[in-house]
Amino acid sequence: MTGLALTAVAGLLIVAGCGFFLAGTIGLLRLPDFYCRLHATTKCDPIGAVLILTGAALLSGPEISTIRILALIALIVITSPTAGHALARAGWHAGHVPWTREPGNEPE
Amino acid sequence: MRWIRLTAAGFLFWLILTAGLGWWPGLLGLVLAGLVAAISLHYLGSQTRLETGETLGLLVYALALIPMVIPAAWQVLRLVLSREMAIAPEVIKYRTSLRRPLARAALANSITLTPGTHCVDLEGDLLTIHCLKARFATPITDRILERRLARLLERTA
Repeated sequence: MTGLALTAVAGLLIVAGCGFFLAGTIGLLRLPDFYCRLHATTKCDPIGAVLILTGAALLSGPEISTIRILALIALIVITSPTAGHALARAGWHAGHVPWTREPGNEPE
Repeated sequence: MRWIRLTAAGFLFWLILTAGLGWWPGLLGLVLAGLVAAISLHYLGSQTRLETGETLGLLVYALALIPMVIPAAWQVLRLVLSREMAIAPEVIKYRTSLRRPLARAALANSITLTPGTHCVDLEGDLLTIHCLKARFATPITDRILERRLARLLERTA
């Protein structure tokens, strides 16, 4: 029963993670400009990855692979916002003007 | 000495990810860890020097951020799935009172992970922040994250 509950929780986490990935991708397509799209990818993708990896860690049980998964989670949590910041900074310094909700402003 | 410590830390991380794959991946990892450590030290120098207590403090801080990251992702999820996508993006400038470059970088990353805000630029003490709505910037202007980071990283600075 415990095993079944664990599998169910892991499954839920993995499905939720996929949901966040999907939302991140939809955001990438729907949001109006480069900076707004970064919000979708830097927030939804790491959470999606962390949830999927946590589900995988629960399924793998107390093994060496669990430590690997935890190391990957730490890597994603640290590197994802840094990469997002690097992209935004590059756009900002290249003179990319953020979209604002003003009459006549068309989304990219 | 710092290069050796950084290389060892990077190599340990590599070993955790590739344990059991044999000698060649291990050797490759050692070379790559050394390179990454050298490049990091070249660009960052002594800016990232951390005391043992501070490393632990940053880890605790990162864990404490998780409850903020989940609502942030949830908020974006709701927003992008809504029919109208009620956003009014703005760019705000914010001057931080944090003095250490490491604390400022940690603040910039924290802002990126919190709901509706994304740090675009960090020059000295001036942060440029992109907000999906102006109200999302309230936790930043209220200095909640900043006070936590100051307690962790600037007691001795």
